Amino acid sequence: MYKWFLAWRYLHTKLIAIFAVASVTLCVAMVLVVMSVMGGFLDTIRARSRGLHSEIVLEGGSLQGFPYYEEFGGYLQVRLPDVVRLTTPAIYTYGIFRVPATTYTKPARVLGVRLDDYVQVNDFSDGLHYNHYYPGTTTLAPQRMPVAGFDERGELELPPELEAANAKWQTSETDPERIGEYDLLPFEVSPFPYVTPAVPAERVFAADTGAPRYAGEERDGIIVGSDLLHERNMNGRFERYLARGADVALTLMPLSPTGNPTGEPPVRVAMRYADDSRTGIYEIDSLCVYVDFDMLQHKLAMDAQPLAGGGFTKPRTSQLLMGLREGVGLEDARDRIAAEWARFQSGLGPGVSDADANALRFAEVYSWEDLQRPFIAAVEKEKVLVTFLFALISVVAIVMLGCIFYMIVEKKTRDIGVLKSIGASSGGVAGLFIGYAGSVGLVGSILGTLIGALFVWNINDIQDFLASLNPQLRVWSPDVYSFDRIPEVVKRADALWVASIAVVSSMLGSLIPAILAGRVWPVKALRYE
Amino acid sequence: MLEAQNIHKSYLQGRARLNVLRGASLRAETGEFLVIMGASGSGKSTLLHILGALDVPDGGTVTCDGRRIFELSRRDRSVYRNRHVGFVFQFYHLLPELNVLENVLIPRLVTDSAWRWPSVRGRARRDAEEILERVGLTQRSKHRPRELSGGEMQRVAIGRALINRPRLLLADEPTGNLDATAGEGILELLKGLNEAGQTIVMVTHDVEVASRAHRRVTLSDGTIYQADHAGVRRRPSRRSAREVAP
Repeated sequence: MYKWFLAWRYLHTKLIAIFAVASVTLCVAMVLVVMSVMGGFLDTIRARSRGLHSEIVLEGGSLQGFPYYEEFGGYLQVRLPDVVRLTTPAIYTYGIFRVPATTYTKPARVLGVRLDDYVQVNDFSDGLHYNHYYPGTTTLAPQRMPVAGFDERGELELPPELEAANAKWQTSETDPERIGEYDLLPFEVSPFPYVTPAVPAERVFAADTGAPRYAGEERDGIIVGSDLLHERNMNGRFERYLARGADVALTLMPLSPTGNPTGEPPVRVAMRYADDSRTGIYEIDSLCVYVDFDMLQHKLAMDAQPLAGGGFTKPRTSQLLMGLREGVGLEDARDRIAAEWARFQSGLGPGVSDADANALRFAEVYSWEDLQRPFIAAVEKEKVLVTFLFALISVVAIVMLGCIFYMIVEKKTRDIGVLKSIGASSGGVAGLFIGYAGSVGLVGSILGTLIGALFVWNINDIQDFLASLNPQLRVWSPDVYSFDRIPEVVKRADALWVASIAVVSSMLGSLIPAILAGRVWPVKALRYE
Repeated sequence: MLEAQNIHKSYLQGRARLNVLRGASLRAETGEFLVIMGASGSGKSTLLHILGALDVPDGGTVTCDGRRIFELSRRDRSVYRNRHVGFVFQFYHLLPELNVLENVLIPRLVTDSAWRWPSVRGRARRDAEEILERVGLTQRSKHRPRELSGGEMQRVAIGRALINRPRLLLADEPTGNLDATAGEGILELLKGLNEAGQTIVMVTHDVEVASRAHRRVTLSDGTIYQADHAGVRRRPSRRSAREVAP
């Protein structure tokens, strides 16, 4: 009993113990903050990855794509009607995105999608900016530029379709943050930094003194990744440099079914900026643009092309996206669809050209988890690495704890002699100091967990406060980390894990001093001054 | 009750070996108040530590109630120190973080495990309070050692030594650090305890202090000499301590 009694007494009467507790507290808080932020980061990425793709993807594995996708979609509707809800093709390729009359030219990953179906197999519509405030107005079809004019009261007004859509949103929106954001939205002005020479800044919507109307030629719409075209300011808000409906251009490189350039010059497509998309993954939002599937397929010569000997090639796509019915298991569905894909191919017969057969050979069925696994695994590894690095720093604290306990044992040598004279065994004395260290670890862990949790729960407020003092103190850059807000969730399991490790580490740190204490020769100790 | 035979103990001092005890033998009977006298550095404390199993002799045996204590395991020797021996040191050696009552209780805390403690705590506390009453410190039970006088601290140390009702009380110069009045009080206390049946072996170099004992022996040249009533030393015979003891 004396071990617990004295450990507790030493803990709250010895000043040096407070330093030991403080070092454990800081380490626990530090590791917990890192684990929580990185864990939150990982969870957010995982959640967003889920919404990026459809549940199941038939992936061509090459830029030239694979044929028979429409046929396979129909085949699945017949073979697995209780599994597959919807199929829709998507093409991906690379191109050059350009804002005319500016120096703004960037490489882009181009996705051709059938928007109405595409938004039904993933969460794409949630990230469309204008479609949120003007529901139903974002389209990839040919369109003109909306221009705001003045109504009879002298207030800026958009064309009737947009005003009606906005009125619908206004009656349904309940999120005060979104409403506050809208108040800044329609005619906010930001100078476009890439214009040479400088021209008057565009507005979010173009406006002039005439009546509200649509202007310019009809052009195919393009949805642009939010970080590709716009920039986030230090508050995480987007500075929009281009008015909705503005002219942009996309340059594409068509490929033959064998994957070689067709020999035709690159295709330049004039388009209209219809909306911007935000998936929350910076790597996607800073690179991707979305255009109409049929338009892209045609421009890339992936549609039915005439053959020299008569007839046509089969149209190709890069992916066939599939939405599943409610309650269908992901892996089970993937395996069943993969089996159907193999059966479908074997049923195609000898009429398939060599190029098509080759393209089909590389097309495979994946679940969204399969596709995102490398990315999620990389972030998981990053989390482990960062946690490990901080845990390594904590080893310094353990060594420090060992030093503190060595000092305590030195200082308590005479008391150790007294304890041995009244019957304490060597193991008992060692146990006393290990228990003491355990108490230090326990108190430090509890305090560290509380401080760490409070810090994580308020981490965005703390950052905002620091940024209000000096903008350079804003450490979490939305430009880099994709998310405006630092994850602020502390998992109980993480807290318990960190605290337990800290208690055990504290005890390990005191092991050598404790063993030395146990080996103190009582006669020597009693003479110790 | 307690018998030490032919105890040898040496220490290394630098490169030289210092033979502190060279065949010291003595015996203490139950209820006896035995004083070991000797000059400073003669090995009195070393002998006392060996009797209490705090130190291990190079040779010889110590028997307590028929058990050879250096044939016990280290753990059993700890139990021996806890249950059968009470130590009183010249410099009190109280634990500064504990108050008077807790200092007296600490050997009992060593005796009982954390699981057993809740069931025996009340009785242990009553025992400690009773002992504090015997040593005259009831009013000081909540005080820390730094708030006590030397005499009071030594009384606490005696209380601590008695809490487990040991058969043997070993006192190492218990008055050596006290003024005359306080020292007298401690001697009276020890005398009273002895009259109540407590076996005491005390080390001192003070003849006046030694005169309170039933019997005194002198340690010189590492050997025990018996003293007669006039204080004249007799050489020990070659026979065993049992045979030379009165």
